[in-house]
Amino acid sequence: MNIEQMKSYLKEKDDFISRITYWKEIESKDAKYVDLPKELDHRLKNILKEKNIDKLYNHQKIAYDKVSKGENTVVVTPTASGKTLCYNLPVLNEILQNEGSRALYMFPTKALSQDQLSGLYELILALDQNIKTYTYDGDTQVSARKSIRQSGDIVITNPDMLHVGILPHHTKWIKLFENLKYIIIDEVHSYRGVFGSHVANVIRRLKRICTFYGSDPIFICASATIDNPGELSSKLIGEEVTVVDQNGAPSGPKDFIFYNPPVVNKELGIRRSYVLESKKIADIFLKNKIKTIIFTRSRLKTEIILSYLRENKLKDLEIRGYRGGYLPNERRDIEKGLRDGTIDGVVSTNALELGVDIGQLDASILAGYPGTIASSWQQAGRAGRGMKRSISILVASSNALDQYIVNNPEFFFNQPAENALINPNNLMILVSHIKCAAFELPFKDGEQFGVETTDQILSYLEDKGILRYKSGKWYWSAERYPAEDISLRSASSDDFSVIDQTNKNNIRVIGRVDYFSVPTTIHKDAIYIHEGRQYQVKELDYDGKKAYVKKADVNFYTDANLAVDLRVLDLFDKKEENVKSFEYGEVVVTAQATMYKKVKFNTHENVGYGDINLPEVEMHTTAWWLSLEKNFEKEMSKKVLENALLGLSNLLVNIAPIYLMCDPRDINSTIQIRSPFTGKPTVFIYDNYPGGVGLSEKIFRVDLKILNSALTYLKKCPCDGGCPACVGPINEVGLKAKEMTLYLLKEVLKGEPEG
Amino acid sequence: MNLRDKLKNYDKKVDRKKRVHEKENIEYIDTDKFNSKDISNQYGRYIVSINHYNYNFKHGLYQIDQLFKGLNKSVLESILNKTSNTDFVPNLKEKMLFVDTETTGLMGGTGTCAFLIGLAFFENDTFTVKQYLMRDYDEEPAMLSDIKKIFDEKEIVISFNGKSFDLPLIKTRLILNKFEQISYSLHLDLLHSARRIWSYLDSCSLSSLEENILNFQRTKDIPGYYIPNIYFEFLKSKKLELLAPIFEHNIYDILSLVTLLTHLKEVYQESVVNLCADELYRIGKIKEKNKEYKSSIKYYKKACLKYKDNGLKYKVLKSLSWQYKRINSYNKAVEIWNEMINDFDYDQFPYIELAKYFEHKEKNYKKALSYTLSAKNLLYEKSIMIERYSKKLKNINHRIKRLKDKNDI
Repeated sequence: MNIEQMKSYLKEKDDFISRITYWKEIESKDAKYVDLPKELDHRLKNILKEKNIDKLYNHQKIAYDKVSKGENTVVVTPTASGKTLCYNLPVLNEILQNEGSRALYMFPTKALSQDQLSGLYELILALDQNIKTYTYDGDTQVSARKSIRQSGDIVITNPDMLHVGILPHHTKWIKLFENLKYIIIDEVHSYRGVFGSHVANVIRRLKRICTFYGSDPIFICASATIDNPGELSSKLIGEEVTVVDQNGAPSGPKDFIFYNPPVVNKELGIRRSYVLESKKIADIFLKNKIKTIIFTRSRLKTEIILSYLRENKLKDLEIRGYRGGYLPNERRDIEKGLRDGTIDGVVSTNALELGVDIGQLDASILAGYPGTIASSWQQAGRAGRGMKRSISILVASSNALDQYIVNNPEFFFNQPAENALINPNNLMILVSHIKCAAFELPFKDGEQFGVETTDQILSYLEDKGILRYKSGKWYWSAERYPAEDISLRSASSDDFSVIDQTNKNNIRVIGRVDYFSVPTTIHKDAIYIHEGRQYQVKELDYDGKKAYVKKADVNFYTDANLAVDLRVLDLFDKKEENVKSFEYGEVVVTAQATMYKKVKFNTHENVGYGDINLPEVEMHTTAWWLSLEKNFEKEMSKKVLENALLGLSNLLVNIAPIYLMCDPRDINSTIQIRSPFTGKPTVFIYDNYPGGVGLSEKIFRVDLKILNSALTYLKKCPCDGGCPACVGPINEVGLKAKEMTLYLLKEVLKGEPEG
Repeated sequence: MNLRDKLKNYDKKVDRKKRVHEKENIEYIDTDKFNSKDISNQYGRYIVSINHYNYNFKHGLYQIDQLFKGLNKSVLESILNKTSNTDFVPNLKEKMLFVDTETTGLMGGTGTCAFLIGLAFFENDTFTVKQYLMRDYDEEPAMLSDIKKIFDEKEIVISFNGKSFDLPLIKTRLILNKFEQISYSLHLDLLHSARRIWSYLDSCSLSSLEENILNFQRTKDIPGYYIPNIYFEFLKSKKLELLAPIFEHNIYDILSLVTLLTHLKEVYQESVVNLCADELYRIGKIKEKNKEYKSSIKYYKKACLKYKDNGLKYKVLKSLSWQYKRINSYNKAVEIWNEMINDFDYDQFPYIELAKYFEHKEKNYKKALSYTLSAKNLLYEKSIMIERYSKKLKNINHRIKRLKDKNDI
């Protein structure tokens, strides 16, 4: 079946069409062309003509013009719209016309660097002008490194290598830094949250070194569609940035379908599992030889859908899983299989959302709303490159966010995509990079590194004996090599290794788990799933940061409960109203895993539990909180109040991401019946990252809107007494939670304008 | 909460010890120690400690002036193991600069400083060791500017691991202080020269060479990894005597550089009579690699006479027979192969070589086949101990088949 036939088939299939809440037929779009820039070097014009490029898409031309004027530029385009030419043209033109000029390319991952190198090589080979282009990353041969440092006209790298391998050794790269004309940052939208905040600081260091060598490079960034590409790029590079978003590339016709699984339990508002529904749809596509990618929201779901699909024993079909935690060569292997067509289907987390070249796929299934509009378009864009027709299906889970999206399609299709938030001044991250920067070049008195309080941080580091102040400068004064202790990918560098001991002769590391996920994913007896296989954790060596696992074959997975305690450290701002006050500030959250449940596959019923004995993990972050002035304890019992607060916190976590435009996993909540800080019943929502990435502050700005939407949503929720999509399931929040949450909300919003 | 408290909150391991307040303008009263002088130049101050050694001073095996005997371009090239395009002016010793640094870190990178730089050279019939010390970070420019002057006068740098450590570090420091770069026409990194000959030792570190080769034993030397922290301690207290062991360590390193260079020169001048079999074998190897086959034969033959263990002798014989084969002295090669068969049964090598010889030179296919079959038997017997067994077996079987064809069997 081809994709047109599949479309007609689905339109006639009753048990499919009846669950569709929205079917958007997106028309194909023709290209908008303009002439090549007149002043473009004739050698470049010639090779472009040889490749049958005698015109540019208009966004390519605009980008070229802006960059030529010396403006920092960010190009915003969907996948497969010729964005690489937006930066390759100015770079190659500059090198051709001013011999000796150099450029640095930065991609978020090694895999992307490799892809780019091959594309750029083609142009350079055709030019035949001895422009030396190299990737410099962890995989670069030691013997080749010296000549790359000295003679690379274009150096392609990633932020991690820049951070650990290049900046701390900048004196070996004099030629590059002295002649650096352009810095290219692709996939800018992926530099958000903790990672983005780290990278912004790496760029501060990079610019500091450029200044030392007397260069002042222009930044050319490229981003997928997000709402704030200009703001994000500008925060990332610390300078004004011109946005180019007039996309002139063509695109093929696409059907974007919203699918809502049927309600199976009206009292509880429970729908049929979106995981199973996604798997069912994937089966139809795969059986009919349509190359399909299934995106899931978590590593666990990836593994579950993968094992379901494999259970079906679809003959001759190669179906693979793909997620973070797989080892690099395993991933390269899967990417290659997708490109050369030997793999028919892949189940992936958002790891494949970025521009890893995986060739042409016909259909994408989003198993659950990915959390953001931007992610949804990226994932949908994985199907249908060029002018080919494609189908994308969003299968809604029963989460509030999913339900909101599939029932309000106009919100999805008319709303600009999300903001990507970063907080380069997150204190923990900032201090790490000030250390690295001091190692690279001593700080001078009065020098600022992003913040006005730089000198206070420097003197703190002096107290710790890491820096030494002498004659107006702060010198690195420790034996350590600071960059090595700091990982850009996580707030803490304490990853745990998962070691498979099944075969005594082949003991190997099969994955890595970050510090904060350890208590819930690799506690003793946890079921750890990797490549669709189940492993049971036999021993967790907490101090040695290792989990030893053995293969297991059981019909359940494990799901851990976390007991969360929160302490307020500092109050940033406060709004007091008649019966409530809104505040935000800095908190420390301690989380302790207490027990885990064994959950049966398919039916998802509880089949047992066990204790978890692990130290608590601690996180400093920022939080928003709502405390209730009114003495509700007089009106309801403590238990009822607790459940009502719990219901409210669950509801807020469900609804807030719509306004925060963040991933639902980026925030978390906890409640206190009598908070030691406020002395009142309080609901806390906090950034789920050490140091915070700015979400709590944003909640503080729009909290009334969120509460109003929460009220409207709760009134409309079809469940009887509470469901996971609103206040939480009855067995967790109690029978009266929905009613009491509604009451609390109404009280809180008394006297407030609606909306 | 203020910023400082927040920072402390983030970092629970923060050292809560009371901070020692440092005096800013400390008087350097003890600069007389280590024969040191306070130096001022346009960039500031630093101190230098100067020590002179007479040419009859003996460190380990040799007196200093032993180095000058027969010192010429070709022996330096042997030590360097490559020919150099530079024209050495007659007075080689006056062009030499011995370099060794003590640093604030052992991993390199731009945050590592060379706080003590030892430079040594020959002048006015003495060996002069100048040790430049920056007493704080702000003294680095003044120190570097004077070091640069010395480099400008010299052409041949001699160091131990200086190619990957000391010299890149000095160059980095010059860049960071915006000085022009130093240049020199030749760099003898004696670590590489030493490894070519003494790699059979457990360690090729300078102290191991001193002990095993140069006949010098350090008393109460500080291990290198203590050095950065001693310097940081000094920065806080400004007590120069803390650095005394580092000055001494640095001087020993430089004196040992001279002795090591002298010994290498003696070795290549063939004036060392008591070389052991290991040394002779490795020098033979160097000669072999440089295609000086006759010279390599000479060393292998000497090694055969001195061997202490059979494993080494077998390796030497192997190499020796190869050289004979290379220069077409088949008689001698055959003699060795037979000797190897008689005295050892380590592997199939001599059998295969004889098989080749009889097949290609003597055209005696029967004999060739018989040696090949013996090789196969040996291979079976020793199968557990022989590396790449199956590949070797395959080759032998192939040879047997060919020889059988030639023998018409």
